[in-house]
Amino acid sequence: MLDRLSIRNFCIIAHVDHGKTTLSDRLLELTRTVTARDMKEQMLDSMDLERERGITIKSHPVSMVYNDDGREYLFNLMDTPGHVDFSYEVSRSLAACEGALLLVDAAQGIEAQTVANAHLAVAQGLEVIPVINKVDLPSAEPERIQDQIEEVLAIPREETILASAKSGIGIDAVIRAVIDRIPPPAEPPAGIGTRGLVFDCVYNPYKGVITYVRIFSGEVRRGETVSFVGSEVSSQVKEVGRFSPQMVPEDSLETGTVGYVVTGIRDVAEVKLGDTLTRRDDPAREMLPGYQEVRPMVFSGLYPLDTSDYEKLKASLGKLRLNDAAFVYQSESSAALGFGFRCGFLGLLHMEIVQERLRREYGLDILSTYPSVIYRVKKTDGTFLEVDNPVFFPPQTELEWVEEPMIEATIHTPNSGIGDLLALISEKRGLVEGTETLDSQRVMIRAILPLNEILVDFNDRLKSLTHGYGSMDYEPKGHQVADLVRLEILVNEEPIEAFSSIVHRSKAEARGRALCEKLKDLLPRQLFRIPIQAAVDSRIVARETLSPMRKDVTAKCYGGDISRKRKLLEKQKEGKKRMKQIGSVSIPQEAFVQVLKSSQG
Amino acid sequence: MVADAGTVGTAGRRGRPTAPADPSPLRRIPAGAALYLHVPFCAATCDFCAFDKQVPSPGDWQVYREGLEAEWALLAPEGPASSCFWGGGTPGLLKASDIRRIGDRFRRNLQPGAEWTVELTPQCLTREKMEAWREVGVNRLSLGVQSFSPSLLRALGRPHANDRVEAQVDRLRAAGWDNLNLDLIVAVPGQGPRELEEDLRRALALSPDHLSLYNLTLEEDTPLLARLAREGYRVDPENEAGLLEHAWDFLETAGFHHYEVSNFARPGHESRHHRTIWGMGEWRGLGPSAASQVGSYRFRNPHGLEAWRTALREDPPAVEERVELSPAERVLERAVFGLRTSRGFPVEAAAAVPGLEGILRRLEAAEWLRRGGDHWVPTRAGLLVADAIGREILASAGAGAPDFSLPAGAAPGNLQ
Repeated sequence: MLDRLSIRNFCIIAHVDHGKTTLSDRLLELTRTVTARDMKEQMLDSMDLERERGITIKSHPVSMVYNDDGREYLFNLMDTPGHVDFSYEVSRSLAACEGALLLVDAAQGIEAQTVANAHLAVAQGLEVIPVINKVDLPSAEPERIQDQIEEVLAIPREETILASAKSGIGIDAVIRAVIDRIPPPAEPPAGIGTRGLVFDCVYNPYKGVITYVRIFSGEVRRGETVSFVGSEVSSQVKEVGRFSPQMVPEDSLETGTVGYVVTGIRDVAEVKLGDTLTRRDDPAREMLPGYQEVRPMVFSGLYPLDTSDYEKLKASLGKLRLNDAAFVYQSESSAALGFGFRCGFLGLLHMEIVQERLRREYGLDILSTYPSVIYRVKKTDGTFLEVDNPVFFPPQTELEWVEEPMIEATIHTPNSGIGDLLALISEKRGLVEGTETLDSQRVMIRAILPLNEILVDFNDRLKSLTHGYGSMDYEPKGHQVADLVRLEILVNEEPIEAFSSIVHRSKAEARGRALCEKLKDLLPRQLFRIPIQAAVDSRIVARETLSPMRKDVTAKCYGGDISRKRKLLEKQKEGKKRMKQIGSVSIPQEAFVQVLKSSQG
Repeated sequence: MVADAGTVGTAGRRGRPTAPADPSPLRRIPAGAALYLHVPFCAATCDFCAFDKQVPSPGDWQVYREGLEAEWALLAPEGPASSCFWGGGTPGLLKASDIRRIGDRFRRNLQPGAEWTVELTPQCLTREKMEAWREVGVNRLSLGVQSFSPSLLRALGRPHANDRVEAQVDRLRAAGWDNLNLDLIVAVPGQGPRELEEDLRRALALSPDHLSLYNLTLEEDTPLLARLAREGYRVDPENEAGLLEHAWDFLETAGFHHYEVSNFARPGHESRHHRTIWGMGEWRGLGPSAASQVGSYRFRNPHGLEAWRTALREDPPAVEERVELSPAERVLERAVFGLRTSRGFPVEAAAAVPGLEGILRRLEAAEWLRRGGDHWVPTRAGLLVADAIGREILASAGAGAPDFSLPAGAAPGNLQ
């Protein structure tokens, strides 16, 4: 067994597409952890969806043994999720490391999320080693990137490694830096007890919950009884081991190392990220720092398009939940959409990923309602409410105040896009706190924005305004009182829940108008004139009228056509029954899908 | 399929039973019914047509003739019929000898002087046939012109040019045929208001007493639909409505009575036969795929010459799509089909089906219907949406027939 001083725990911080996976693969090859024959491209990203999007959703550590001229080192590489939605997961992964490779694309430069994560790493006391990747590309500008790193992160340019993971350039220098610059795990204070940081867990149908831990002090052996300090759950250890990269059982996990622990726990909800694992016979005197409960921030209703898929959806959500403790759901029903689930997500990407997985991995056609955040409401009777569904938003007369969640956004943009971007921030009710120059071409903007304003199209518009070069990161920034109202959409005077939303008063009219126009285009004409209205507190703020149909008649209708005609009308009548009946108006499911889609795009 | 086994008894399969106490509806021809003959042959087939028809091969005519003999032998007329219509296919293809032989049977079962129409294409006129029709009692001819424009005919995939229609009509006139109907098609791809007017003008120049003006219907499984689908053609209801109204104005100005969605007549020349059918009267069809409505039953002869011929070896003949309509269904159908015509639907008849009157009033409020005396009649706008009106009536009315009732208290959105 390797001693503590030969262990290096580190991670790679990188923006999407900057080459994190390729660099990881090079390290795996060089340490012969994976033979060339087994080498699948992008070894670490296991889910199809992750591979396709070039992002990692679940952290997945790998242990490698590197022989440095006769001396063996154990590298534990933590694969961190790159996206802001998972920043708590990132911070837990970082907390398990002593160092981080900051990987930056030599052409694209440093991005907002990368900066955020690098700051997180510095704040946690990690040794940050900048690696400029893809230096062999014609468009590479390594010197400009070195400037950026110096400017934004205050890391001297001499400390930057120039590399190309794809071509194998600079990989030796990276390994050298890992050995020489990243410190080994610190010696734990005596008598502090056994402490392991839980930085991830997955569900396995045979083994139950597999917990990923970094041992800071003591050791964990098979057969012992362990407990989780935060959740106060105890269980016997059935198996411990390392990832290389498959799970390989060992006798014990010792101080300083990273591995997995299998206990009798079968529900991921019982294992909280950031919790401290300890041994009953050597209990921790205090928890490891930084533990917090993860709470969803974005909510949306998910409904099966085919109502008979309800049970299937329910089962699928249950399976997703097994591996994703951050995802929560409960059943709800809507007059228009039938039975479905109110779901909570960490953020937008998380929401998208869950929906996409339901579609792809579980083959479900689902419809999602307009996303919402949690509003804090004080009512005139003195009671407090948390509202994540427009349906439960109290009438204006019962409101004392409403608070909405805010975020602090860090936006990186080329200089040329700044004017449009400031206009976008202001349109989204944001307040710019400051701008910083990153280098001669890029600017960083910090702004406070309501979370609900970035839910739908903010990121898409940011990308389009900056021709794809802008990037954003955000973190929660408390709550603020705001003049929020529930916007209702009425078709033929009947409110349609699925289309209602909570919006700022100043935006109610414009959004109402847009929805009414969209519906006018999408709804099939009926025999009767149908008003389509948007209302705030029963005051109509926008209105369109669906004209009656103009022509719907069969030309020929004689003896032989009568029964044919009759059958056709019956069939169409059945079709009408399958539509959502709102009062006397039949709304095809397709119209719901289109409206909800368009209001998200 | 055929439940009336009782009538098959000892009377024998071929022979006509002497006096059935309760004749099967499949054998009845009620007195005053409308008679129909389907002639399933065409000289060539048109791309837009979805009717049961075929280009006859040698021997088919013989099978057809024998089949009709067999069919008549199975039927039990209860009194003379009120009208007769020979359609197809192309009844104009029948040879003079067939017209006489087949026509004789019909003549003997028809009220004297009853309206008797034969459909024909302008191409199949001969002096011999004209004489034969006249002899058996045919008194109304319906010419399938479709269009006078060669390019529109090509667009329809109709294989013959109509450059001789005027000459043919002149011949008919000279032979004393005054009761003529012309069929025209509206909204053919490529047809604008100008082309439409040209067709109408040429049709009116022939002084017909009756015009049928059909909005082109793209039927499933027709070569025309397949071709248009390939060409990316899309039906534009707005445009079609405009063309139809344009044509309706034109014909009304010319003095025609618009008495059904697609039919126009000089006053007094409305088709009695069609009115029987639209008014949900009784009719009996002979020939392959011909439909019948007798009493509360509706059924259809088998499609295809052979299947039809085989079905006639049973007594009563084997039929398809047989349904028995409840009284409420018959009322609703009178409303659905009556509201395609200027006669409309009797106000008092609505009382028979709960909920029907309310729907009719709503349709009146939306100006699709109006009260004309003691009938509900469609407005012109209402004629353009007659199918939607029919659906509304079928969907919302009637606790009488379980078929029509919505589940009580059904939650919106198929929650169950």
